[in-house]
Amino acid sequence: MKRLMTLTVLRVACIVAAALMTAGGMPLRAQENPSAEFQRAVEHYRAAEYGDAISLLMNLERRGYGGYLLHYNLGNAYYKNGELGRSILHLEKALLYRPQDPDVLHNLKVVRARTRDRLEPVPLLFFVRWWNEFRTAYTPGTFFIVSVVLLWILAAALFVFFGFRNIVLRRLAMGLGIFFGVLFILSVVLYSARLDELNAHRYAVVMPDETVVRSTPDASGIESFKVHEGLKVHIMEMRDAFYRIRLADGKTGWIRASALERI
Amino acid sequence: MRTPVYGIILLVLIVPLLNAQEVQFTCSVDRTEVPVGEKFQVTYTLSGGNLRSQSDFNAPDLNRNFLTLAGPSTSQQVRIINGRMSSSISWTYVLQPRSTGTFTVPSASITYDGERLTSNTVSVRVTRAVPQSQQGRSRQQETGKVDLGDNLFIRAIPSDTDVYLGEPLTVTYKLYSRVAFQLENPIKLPRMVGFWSEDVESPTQLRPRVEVYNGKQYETYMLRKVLYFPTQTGELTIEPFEVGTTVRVRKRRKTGDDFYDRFFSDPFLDRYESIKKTLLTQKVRVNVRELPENGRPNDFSGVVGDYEMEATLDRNQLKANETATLKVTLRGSGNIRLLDEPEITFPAGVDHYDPTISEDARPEAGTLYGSKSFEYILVPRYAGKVTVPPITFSYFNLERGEYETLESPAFTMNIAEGDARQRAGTVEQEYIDYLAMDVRPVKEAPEEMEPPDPFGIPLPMLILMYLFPFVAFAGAITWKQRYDRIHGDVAGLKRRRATRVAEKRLRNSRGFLDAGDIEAYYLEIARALWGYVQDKLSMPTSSTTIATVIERLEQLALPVDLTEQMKRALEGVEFARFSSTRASEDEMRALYDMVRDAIIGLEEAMRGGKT
Repeated sequence: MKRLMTLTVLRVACIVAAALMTAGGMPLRAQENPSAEFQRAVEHYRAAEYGDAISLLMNLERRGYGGYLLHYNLGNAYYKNGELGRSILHLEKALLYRPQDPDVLHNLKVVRARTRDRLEPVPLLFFVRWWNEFRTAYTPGTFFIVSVVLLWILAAALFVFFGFRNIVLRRLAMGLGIFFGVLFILSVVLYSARLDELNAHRYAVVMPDETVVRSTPDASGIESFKVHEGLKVHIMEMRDAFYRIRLADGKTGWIRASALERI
Repeated sequence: MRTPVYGIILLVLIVPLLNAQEVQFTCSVDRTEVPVGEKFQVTYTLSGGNLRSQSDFNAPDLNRNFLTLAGPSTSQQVRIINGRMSSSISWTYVLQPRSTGTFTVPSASITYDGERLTSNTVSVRVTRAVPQSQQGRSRQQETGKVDLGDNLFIRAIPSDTDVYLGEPLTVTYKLYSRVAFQLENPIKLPRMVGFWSEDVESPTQLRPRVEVYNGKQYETYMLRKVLYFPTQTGELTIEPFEVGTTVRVRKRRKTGDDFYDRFFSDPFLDRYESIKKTLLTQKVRVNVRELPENGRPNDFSGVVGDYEMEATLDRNQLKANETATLKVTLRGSGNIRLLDEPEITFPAGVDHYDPTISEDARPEAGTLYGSKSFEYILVPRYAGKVTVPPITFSYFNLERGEYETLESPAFTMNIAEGDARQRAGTVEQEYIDYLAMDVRPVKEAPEEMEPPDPFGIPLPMLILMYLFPFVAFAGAITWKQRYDRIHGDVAGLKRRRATRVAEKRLRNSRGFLDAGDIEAYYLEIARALWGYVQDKLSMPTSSTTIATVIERLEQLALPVDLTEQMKRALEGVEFARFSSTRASEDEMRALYDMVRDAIIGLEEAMRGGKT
């Protein structure tokens, strides 16, 4: 059990190191107080000057800032400016930071109601659905905190097991130790899987009004179906200019990479 | 059992066909077998989709195997069937093969919606020239060499050459003939710039009529009748209409001897030959006038003709979130197919969707006649009274030469409070609910802007957080071991040794009893019992009384008779020790047995309880 734990921890460590390196490569230069600039964008938004709000916020993003608030406001501004695809892209990005934020969830539904694709999600086995919902409902940070708490409980159980002679106490400690140990491994797996998923950017939003999805990765392939602006798709496979995507209703096909913006 | 299998096969076959409605770029030829020296047509067609998205037609190199006689000529077609618009654009070349053999018509390419589409290729077999002579002797001649004069020609006869923008004119294409001829298929309509065309008649069976034209009698055939709706103003030209014919003519022998020729001018000796002749109409020039300026309504959108409007709302009493249908029908004459949906101002709080359009039009009396209807689904969101203002529709009445505006009544709906149940439901219903809502307000700037979260925990932090519990565990274990060493587990030790000590004391007391040392016997047996009880129950000597021991035993939930037995033994020992009366030998032995049984009973009970 312990060896498995060390392996998982090592794997997590590698992912985190990679993430740190990429984050470290981003220059953060202080040009103007970014917070003031953000507030100016908010004023523009309130004055219904959405184009100005967008350009200010996008400028901030280009300068290496991010976070829930930036993407939330960008999503709203793009929506007001009539760019549904970009609006959904940024609201989805905001959702990565706070997966259960009611404001983002509400706005996403409002914007999505105005897009053209209506998909009935493919029915999944209940535990697959639960797993997916549970996994995406929290950020990796949440899973990490849970794993640390579980590790403390595990350590306490080990202490009781090795430190006391009372047979009843020791048996109880062993039972609890195994239980929380399994939960700990689960939380670490969830943390690393979620982190992997986020860093791989496997989801994307369709940008053009209408794009053809084909059965083969070339421009002359047989057309399978069409997707429209604002649809969220899952990227299954990437081949230079074409991505194989899967929709929520289970349809798959190849789409031009340039038609997508990855979340 | 077989039918389902066929059904599946059929489905598999049909599904690709259904999908084939999408954008396609194809190459086709009018025939795949061409005698050398004859013309054939190659057409590249882009069909389906939005023609505005196409650009950059890249012509293939046709001149390697063929001679390009004409082309490319482009033509566009837009058709609306059941409210679905399909359009196509094609590039046509007229080619002549250079030599016999099998050749491939190369593929062309085009950019559509940013994607490069490539057409298929077609192979054409070029055969040796086939003489079409009746007697097999005469040779086919080149088209231009035989002058048919005014014996065979076609005319385009316009109904009008001076029209308003949008006013239809009919052009009849008629063939005049004084010779025997055959038509070649297919007849192609000329390409049109500035006109929307609609076939009125294209008879499959030609019927001759006798007509006198320019003083000569002809047999005339109506080939086509086409309605043209001008879409631009100015001097427009309807391009010539082209039709291929094969004419059988008598060939004169050219001997140079006039007499001989006249003498032998005999039907039996004359040779007939078939010649190919392409007939062209004259160009038709049409003057298209702008519609008059004065009296033009503000909402005029260029509709010309004569129309009636009918607008109906299927229900005006409904609950919130239920649907009502507003149907607007325009009926009359004019270019029905190009009619746009009327402008309707929908009241706030009512959701509406793109209309379902149905159209029914047929050519009649020099114009298109029919109707087009637009069905709007309305979903009122809130209870109350809502009004759809009158719908207006303006057009230019050709007959009267003035503008007219039609107006429907206003529609008022009484909306009752909707059912809560109605709101819950399908995905679609949820989408509809959210259509009525706006996004939540923008958020204030944070104190400090953050860089994008890498979502991972920084490595040192992660290691620290995962190491802490183990360090704490190691520390706690070390402390516990030291604590145990210092304090020792006296109670545990005593407990474990209690049985042995009790056994030893019992044996001693037995010795004293046998030796007759009564004092020593009583002392020893009391120590055996009390010591055992104190050690086993971890009770300090100072606080041990019969009452506390019994209380403790009751806490441990031992069997009642055992507690009772222990109580009697303790009382017996105390009584014997402090009583002044001397006990008999039997009584002393009975006390010994009682104490021994009590110890064994407790020992067994405690052991049993532990496991």
